[in-house]
Amino acid sequence: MTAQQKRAAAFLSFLLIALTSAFLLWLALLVAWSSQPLGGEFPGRFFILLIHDVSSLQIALKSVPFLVVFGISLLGNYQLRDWIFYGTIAVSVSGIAAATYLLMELNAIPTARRFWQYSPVEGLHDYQSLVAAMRSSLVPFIAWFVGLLASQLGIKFPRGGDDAT
Amino acid sequence: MQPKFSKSCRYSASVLACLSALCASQTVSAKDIPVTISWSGTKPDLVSIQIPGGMSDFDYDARTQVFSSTLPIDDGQVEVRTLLVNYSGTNHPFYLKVNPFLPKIAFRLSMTPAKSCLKSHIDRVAKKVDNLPDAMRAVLQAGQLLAIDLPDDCGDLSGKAQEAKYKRTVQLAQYSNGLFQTGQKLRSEYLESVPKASRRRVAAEVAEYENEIDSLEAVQLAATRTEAQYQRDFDKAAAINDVLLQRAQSDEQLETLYKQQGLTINQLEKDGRYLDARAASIRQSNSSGP
Repeated sequence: MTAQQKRAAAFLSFLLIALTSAFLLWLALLVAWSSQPLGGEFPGRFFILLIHDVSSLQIALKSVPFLVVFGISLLGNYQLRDWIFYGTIAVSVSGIAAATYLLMELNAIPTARRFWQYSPVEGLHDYQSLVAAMRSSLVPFIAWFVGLLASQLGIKFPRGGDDAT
Repeated sequence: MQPKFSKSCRYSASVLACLSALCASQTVSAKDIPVTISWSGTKPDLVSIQIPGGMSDFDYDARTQVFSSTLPIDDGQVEVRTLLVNYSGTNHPFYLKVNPFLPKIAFRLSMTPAKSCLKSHIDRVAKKVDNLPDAMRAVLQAGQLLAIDLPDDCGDLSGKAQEAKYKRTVQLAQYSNGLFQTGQKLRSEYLESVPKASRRRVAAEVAEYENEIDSLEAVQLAATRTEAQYQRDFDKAAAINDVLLQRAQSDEQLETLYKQQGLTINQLEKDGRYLDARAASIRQSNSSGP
């Protein structure tokens, strides 16, 4: 793998993490500061579609970003540019924070109601189903971000704090 | 030899005689109106109706899938009776304005209970309907949505569900010619669900709806009177006219509403004289017939 390919892969990985983290952060901010219904329109509607498992194909599609990012990280002990490294750390941390906040807040009945009452998916038309689906989706997201954080740190500091810039 | 009574005893006897005569003149016969209720969707667990002295459960015929009962009502009375339809432990009350001239009461209940109070469900019942069965379905559905407990309850959408329930009940009253009424409890619940800022406007709107429903009583009774006249049943027509006259005389608001339908007290008195005369002449011609 050439250095250019590694840089492109690192950038793609960063982009995926950044988009996921930004999406979760946006949703968390809407949950915290707005009182509007959320399940019927973007981003809440997309969140419901995302957490709703209907077929193995969907699960496979949803796993693509996880696999791509981990694959790229594992691909190599490539040298990360500082801005990508720190950027990845920042978006991973914000992703963990946003997902954790959503995980806690969506247990609240009034908050969950803002999603399931407007849900486009038949399987998520009540509190219990929404909370169950939300838990089984957000926990892997958090694990993904934590895993990324660990792998980025592992790549950056392979031998305990050796800066490879 | 005549028995001797003291003066006080004679006085008591005359009072008793007067009272019994009064009672005899006030005795009113009751008419039993047959009530049949069919259903679609989910079967109600129980249907009961208010009768003098309490509630009476309907009989259910599993073969015809019909709930049936009779509703006793005194001659010359117009009364509001409560009908309770129970689905899974939740009572859905309906208020029926009945009079003894109704030949029967029959309608169909329709409801499929929802597990949770979704926005789409509320939107469905909030839509205007154009017939009685759809109004009935919407009223029951809205009531069921409002009865859902936490955590799947309507929450912030309760107000919208309450409005839908009230407005569909108004439509139910309109399509049934005033047989169904909205009821004080529903009106209060609707008004309480409205934000304080717009409560006065909504209260005026509710008053208009209620006037319209109240005036249906006159329309319905007048139509029955006309039908009786058409069938040359002048005794019945005269009896209905008496009820119309009594009600117009007993309540100023009703008098105004009756007037709006062209039924002034003067007119009703005039109609009464005419109908009595026709009834008498028919009775006379029947008795002097071959």
